[in-house]
Amino acid sequence: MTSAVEIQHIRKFFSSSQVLACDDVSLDVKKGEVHAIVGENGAGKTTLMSILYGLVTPDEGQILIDGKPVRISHPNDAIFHGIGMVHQHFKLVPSFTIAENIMLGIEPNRAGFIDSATEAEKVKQLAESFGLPVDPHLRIRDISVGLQQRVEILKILQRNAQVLILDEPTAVLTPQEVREFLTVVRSLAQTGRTILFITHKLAEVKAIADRVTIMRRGRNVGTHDAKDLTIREMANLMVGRVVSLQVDKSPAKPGEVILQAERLLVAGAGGIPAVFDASLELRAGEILGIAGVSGNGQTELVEALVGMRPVDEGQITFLGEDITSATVRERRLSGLAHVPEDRMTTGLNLTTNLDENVVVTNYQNEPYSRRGIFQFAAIRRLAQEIVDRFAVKSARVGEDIKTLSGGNLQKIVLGRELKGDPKLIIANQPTRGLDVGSIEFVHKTLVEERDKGSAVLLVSVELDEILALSDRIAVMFAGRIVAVLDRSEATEEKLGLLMAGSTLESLEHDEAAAEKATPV
Amino acid sequence: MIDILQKYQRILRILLLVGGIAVVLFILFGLPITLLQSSIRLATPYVLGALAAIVASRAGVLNLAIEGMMLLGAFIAVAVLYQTGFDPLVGVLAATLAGGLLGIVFAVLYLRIKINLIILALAVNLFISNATVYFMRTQFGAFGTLADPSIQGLPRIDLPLISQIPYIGSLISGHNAVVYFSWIMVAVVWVILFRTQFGRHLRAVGENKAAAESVGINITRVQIFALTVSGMLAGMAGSFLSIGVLSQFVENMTAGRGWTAITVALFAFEQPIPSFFTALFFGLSEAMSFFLQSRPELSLPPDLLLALPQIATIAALVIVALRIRAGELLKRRAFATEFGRELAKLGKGQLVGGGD
Ligand SMILES: Nc1ncnc2c1ncn2[C@@H]1O[C@H](COP(=O)(O)OP(=O)(O)O)[C@@H](O)[C@H]1O
Ligand SMILES: [Mg+2]
Repeated sequence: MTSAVEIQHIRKFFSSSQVLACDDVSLDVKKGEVHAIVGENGAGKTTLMSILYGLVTPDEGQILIDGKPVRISHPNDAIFHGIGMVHQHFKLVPSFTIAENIMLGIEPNRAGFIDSATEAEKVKQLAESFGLPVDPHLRIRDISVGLQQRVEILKILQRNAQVLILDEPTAVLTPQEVREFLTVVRSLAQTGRTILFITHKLAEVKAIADRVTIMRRGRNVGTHDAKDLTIREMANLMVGRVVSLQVDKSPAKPGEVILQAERLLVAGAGGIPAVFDASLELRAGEILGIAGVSGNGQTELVEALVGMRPVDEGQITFLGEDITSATVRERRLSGLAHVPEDRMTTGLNLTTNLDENVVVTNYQNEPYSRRGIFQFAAIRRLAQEIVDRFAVKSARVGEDIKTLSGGNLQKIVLGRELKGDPKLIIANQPTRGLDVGSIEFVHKTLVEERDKGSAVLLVSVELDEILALSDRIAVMFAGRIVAVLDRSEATEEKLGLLMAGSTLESLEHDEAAAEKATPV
Repeated sequence: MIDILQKYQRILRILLLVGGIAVVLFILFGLPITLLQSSIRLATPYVLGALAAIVASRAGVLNLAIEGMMLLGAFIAVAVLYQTGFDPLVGVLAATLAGGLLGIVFAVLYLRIKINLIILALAVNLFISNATVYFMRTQFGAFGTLADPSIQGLPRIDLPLISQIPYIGSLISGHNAVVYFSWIMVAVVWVILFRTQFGRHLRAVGENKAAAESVGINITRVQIFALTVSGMLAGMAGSFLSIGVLSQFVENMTAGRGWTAITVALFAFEQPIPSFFTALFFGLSEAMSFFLQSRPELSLPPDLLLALPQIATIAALVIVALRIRAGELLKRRAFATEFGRELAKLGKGQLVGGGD
């Protein structure tokens, strides 16, 4: 078989985020194959595909189409070379009809005036010839996500794409839609087109891919025939073996229930649920970890729990009180602390000084203000206390904090949030971007708080962190809590599969099957 | 509140429609014809200004410099006609071109040099406001008002045949060229936006830049073009203010009409034809303010009368804001209902969700 696309030694460094997104990646895609690309979030899959589609310029490397080197510096070049891309986030105009979206940029026209009858007719014919019927006159904002995706595929087929890049196409689909979609992909491959299929869901790889490339931290760690690898092997390759951080901790002594969330429904962007049917229970003196690939509803769940995002259905109970519609301040006053995901924008105000940052959650109360007047001496004492207790290097009372390192900033957040012994600490990605020393410090602090009797909800995309700290682990996928495991039952592998969309039942089924197969 | 609105939506619609028709009938037959004539005339800067706002905003750029572009047009028209004795249409043309030029400068500063849009608009408005005063004093030695017999106003045009129609004829006929041009532009802008390839690209850029970019539409080019046209329309609106009514330029004579024009566009959902009718309403409020001031026997407070157009503007803005808010609430409610039902279907009492 000949190569449709060859990617050679691509390197891309994003200076804005200081990330080496692609590190000497090479890839050889054969004509007419379904080639899956799998990898954790942030592995560089989207970046690599955006380079192939001309949306991102690589620092080094070259691309060959049908064996000839080409320069792709704009999507127009990619389209010219027969490459089409369906993006992770659809690129459709909501108020336009299906036909208008498919023909955008290539409208049939007479002297600039659009011939809409021909346009609709063309779209109809195209759709029928690929067995993907659509009503060309429906507006995008009125149709389902599955149908929108069909429009995206038709859009690139209309432009005669021979190589189709599909970036996490199934992430937004319902299980039925996924099945239908996989059939479509297979039939497109049968027409001789080449499919580059990015996914997190390894079962889909087994179902339709001819070959699979695994990416990890910007590198291609291997291309295999899909039939040669089991789902477990793929999961292991994806996560990679990493030294896990050890945290000393004694077994948890769970006390009374502190937080209960029942069947929460929370809206995300674009009118689809970010959190759907999520329930959890958290007790005093335990750490509940929430594992999951980022973007599966963790952020929205946390925001709903702390009062920053409205809950559309369901109930949140905190210390026996219904707080579903309580304000952020009410929740904080009753003993909830929040270490937000983004310390630079939500956690702290980098344009003001240390004092204001530490008192901001409590400024209206004594001793920090009396009769509406700030008591600066008390505020300065608080700031000094936090600096001393958490050893925040180079932070000084009354001075700016914007030059402090991430680790020191996070210590300020922790110091503020842990002041006054909260009953519940919700920490979202508390160690993101920190150095090893700071990570250890944050971990130690959270365990100490647990031992003092606080309930801790730890949300993290780092599996090591979840495994090192949690007493129980909940896994979030597609807005749901798909499993809650005891720490002793949880393995990295099992969590990885759950995070990738498997269910507990199917895992148990697999295990039972494996046991039967192995001779004793 | 929302509940009631939703429940009686149909009845409310019908009531609004009937009420609207009643108001229009009253306006047409209950008000003096001279008042209506001047309403139609005074609506012109709002019609053109709203089109300027629509073209820019449909391309995804909020043009808050319409006020300045209008003022520039008003000044250029008079400056070109002063002592040259050119035909007033030359003044209109010059104002239009000047507005377009300012539109290009605006677009380049915003899109190429990437100056913050709001700061840029404020700077343009302030700069034009002061620059016109400066040139009026240094070049023409005029203070406050630049008027001269050499500046000819736009002549009235009597439309053949139409002027013969009783009543309607006297409303539609007898306006100047810019008034008629503004009507034509309503149709032209509508056709461009909704019937041409360029208009579709423009709307795609305004609604989803990424979508337009991914099919190879040159966003910067579309936006530069839109801002240029926006500037031209605003410049022409300005020329109407200076040579369409009294043939003179007065310091800051736009007096907020550019901002009102943006309100008109917002109120009309950025649609050209509804904007035209909204503009007529603002023309009426302005004409009404003059009309009532000229009738002291009514003994209405003069300050209040002067503020009539401004009151209309604020009312329109409040309605726009309420409409947006109600839309959000309705959307959230629809979401909760739709997925709440699905949630209920899943059955009760499980701690672990269903997975997929
Ligand atoms: N435009 C960008 N600017 C800065 N950093 C980026 C940009 N796009 C991606 N990154 C970073 O590059 C890494 C790889 O991202 P991405 O290719 O989206 O991963 P994947 O699709 O595998 O989840 C991530 O760390 C991400 O934060
Ligand atoms: Mg991605």
